[in-house]
Amino acid sequence: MSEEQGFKGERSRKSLKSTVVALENQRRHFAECRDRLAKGEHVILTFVGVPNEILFAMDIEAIYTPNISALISAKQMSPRYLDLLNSKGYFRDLCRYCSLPLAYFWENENPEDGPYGGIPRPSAIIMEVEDDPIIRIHELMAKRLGVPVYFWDHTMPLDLPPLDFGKTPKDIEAESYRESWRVDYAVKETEGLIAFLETLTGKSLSMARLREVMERSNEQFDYCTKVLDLCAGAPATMTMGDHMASLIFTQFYRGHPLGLQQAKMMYEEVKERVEKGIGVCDNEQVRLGHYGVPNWFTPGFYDSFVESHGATFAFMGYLAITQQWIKRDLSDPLRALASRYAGYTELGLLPPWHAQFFVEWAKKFRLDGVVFQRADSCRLLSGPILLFMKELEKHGIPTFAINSDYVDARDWDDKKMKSQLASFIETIR
Amino acid sequence: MSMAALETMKRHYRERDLAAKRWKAKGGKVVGYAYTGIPEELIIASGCLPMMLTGEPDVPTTEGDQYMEDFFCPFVRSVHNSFVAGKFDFLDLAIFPHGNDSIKRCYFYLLAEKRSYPGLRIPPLTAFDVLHTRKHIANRYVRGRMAALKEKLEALSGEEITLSALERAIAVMNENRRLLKKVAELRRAEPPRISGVDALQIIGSGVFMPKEEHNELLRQFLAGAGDLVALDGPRLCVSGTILDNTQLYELVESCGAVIVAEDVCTGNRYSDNLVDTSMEPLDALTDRYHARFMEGRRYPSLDEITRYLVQTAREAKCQGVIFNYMRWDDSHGWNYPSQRDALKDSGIPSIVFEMQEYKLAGSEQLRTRTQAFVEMIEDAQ
Repeated sequence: MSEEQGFKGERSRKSLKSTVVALENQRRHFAECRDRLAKGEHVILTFVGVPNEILFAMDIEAIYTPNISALISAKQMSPRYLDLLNSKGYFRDLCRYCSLPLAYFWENENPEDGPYGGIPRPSAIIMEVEDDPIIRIHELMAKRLGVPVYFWDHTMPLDLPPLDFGKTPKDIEAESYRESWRVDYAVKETEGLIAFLETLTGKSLSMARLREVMERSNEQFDYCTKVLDLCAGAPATMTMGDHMASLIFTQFYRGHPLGLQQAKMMYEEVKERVEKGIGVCDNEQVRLGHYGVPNWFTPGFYDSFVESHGATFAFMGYLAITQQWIKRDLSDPLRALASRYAGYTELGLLPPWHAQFFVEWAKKFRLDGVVFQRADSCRLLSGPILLFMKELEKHGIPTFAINSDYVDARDWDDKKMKSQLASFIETIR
Repeated sequence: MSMAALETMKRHYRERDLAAKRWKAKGGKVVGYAYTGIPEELIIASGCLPMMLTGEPDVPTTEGDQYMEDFFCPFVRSVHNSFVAGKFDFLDLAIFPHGNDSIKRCYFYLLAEKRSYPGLRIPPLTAFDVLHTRKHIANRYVRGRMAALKEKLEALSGEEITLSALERAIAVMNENRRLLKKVAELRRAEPPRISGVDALQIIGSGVFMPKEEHNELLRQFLAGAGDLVALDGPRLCVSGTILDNTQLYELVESCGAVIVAEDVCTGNRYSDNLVDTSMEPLDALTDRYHARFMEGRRYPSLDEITRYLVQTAREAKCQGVIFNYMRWDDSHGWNYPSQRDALKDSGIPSIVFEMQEYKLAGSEQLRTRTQAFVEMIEDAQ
């Protein structure tokens, strides 16, 4: 159903003040980026699998492709831009999550037409080489914007981690160094990235600043761990809208002062709510987990079963992912950073051998069921759903897959999707 | 002799494990590889038989569908199904390149399935990590992976891959490429002497048999080139997804056209670029399989890929181009508008078949569209 046909997504529900602050901070950040650009400074368009800690250490502002896509989608603008891409010959079934900014910048010469007063027009692009569309979408974008682009290449794992991988944070950190040739390469890529930024901006990287950013990121992720521990045993203290907003500081501000501030604020607020027994549902009957990326064009969809069914989303993956990135050993901060990203797609996203984690989280959070999101146009983020479902169901945890794009509202049938998820909830209630 | 050689090649194209079974029966080892871009030279030098792993368009992916979602490229789903069904259990090793998303993730899935479901007869697996940027540091990384693959194959065969074995293997593969280029010349000739259907089988049979045997068959075939019948019809080029069967070409050529060239990894592109024998062998292989490898998702490449297609179409004097994309093979879709427009600027019309199934589906609609395209070209002559 296109924008013209009148579907308007439901806004997300927020129970945390820290969520509201996070969104306000983001709006302010966009305005600051526009100001910086106006003064001739650089703002880099980048992605979540690139060592953005380098940018923060060099005091360079960043904006993110998936963030822009989520915002455009949340503002109900995605059909317009996706239709534009299709009209230029880019097929409808191609990636939409990463391509929305391409369409946005294709059409908009004036930055004020867009979410938050207009997406800042980047002065350079730093992009990870992760899945099929990313290279070409951003190559096209760089040409369109007339800006330089640096591609940070990701290597591929050779072997599986050991069976007992991930039992402790120390294990996870050790695992990130196991295929050392990949970390060696990630160091070289990161050095290449630094040289690109130094040439572009005239700024230099200080290793002391980088260490500071890495220490701050660890502290930030430690707060995420504490929030998870608090939430595991309590009635759901956060809405799905709050979970989704945690994407902001876990993905876009790793080691940035804003990221630490938001993580700490979330922790303090959740702690208080847990101590006072404040939840999002007075009569919680079903605790769900959401694994994967949600849809951004109707974020309120997920919380629309709270009153009707007592169904909450007690767990979502954005906070849990951060546990894969903690680096206690900062004797070589650049290598530690490189190891965080060398295995980004395996440690951070959804490789099939993470099924054991999903079962552990489901048990820890006492989930009654797990919901996956499957977007046909994005294999990278949809993940090995069937393998995960098999593993969860083997442990007696029911599962359900929502078939929906993350940002494209054109095919969304709200009534049908609500009916499907409601049926799942009713079978497990 | 020429026709006999062609028939033998067609047989190997049809019966893809024929040579592998013979090789195994003699006590040899077979190393399968998913997708092009694997240095077959190393496999040959190790004394093993390289064999490309392809799917089965007529076989439903029932077993594989228990584990792999249907948003993967259907060619890869079919290959995955064959693994899960145990059809590749005779392999001593299977190598997966860092190719497109579907191929890479198929490797991850098979690794996890092999561990979690030990009853599945999945052979030993490994990966060859070729990066997608062409930076110097990427090239040096791939050089390291090339050396690692050499060690893996030495461990498999139990013997060192000597310098002379590697040089011999490179010579055999380069000869194969030279002979295939002669085949390509016969296709580009005016009038063309080889149909696209036959060409796919001539090229494709080589990945299922020992290269020396394929080279001999090619020589025999080319020796009789003078007797090949001239073909008639609008000259077309095909660009897009891997083609490991002749269904599409049969349909197109049944509409009166001749496919004289293609920008497809299992077509003419397979014989692109000889290995440079003036370089140290592993450096030379890295140069060929990384620095000079043409592939839809690499960078910097949009201009390069576009120029490649236009040049291919022009050199073969193509009058039209068919873009053919399998479902969820996203690599090519982002290149399409630029390539389409560049061809148009060169006066070459094109047509696109998107979201195609592995087994040719909707063939009547495709036939109608192809016929209309062919007639349009004929009318313009």
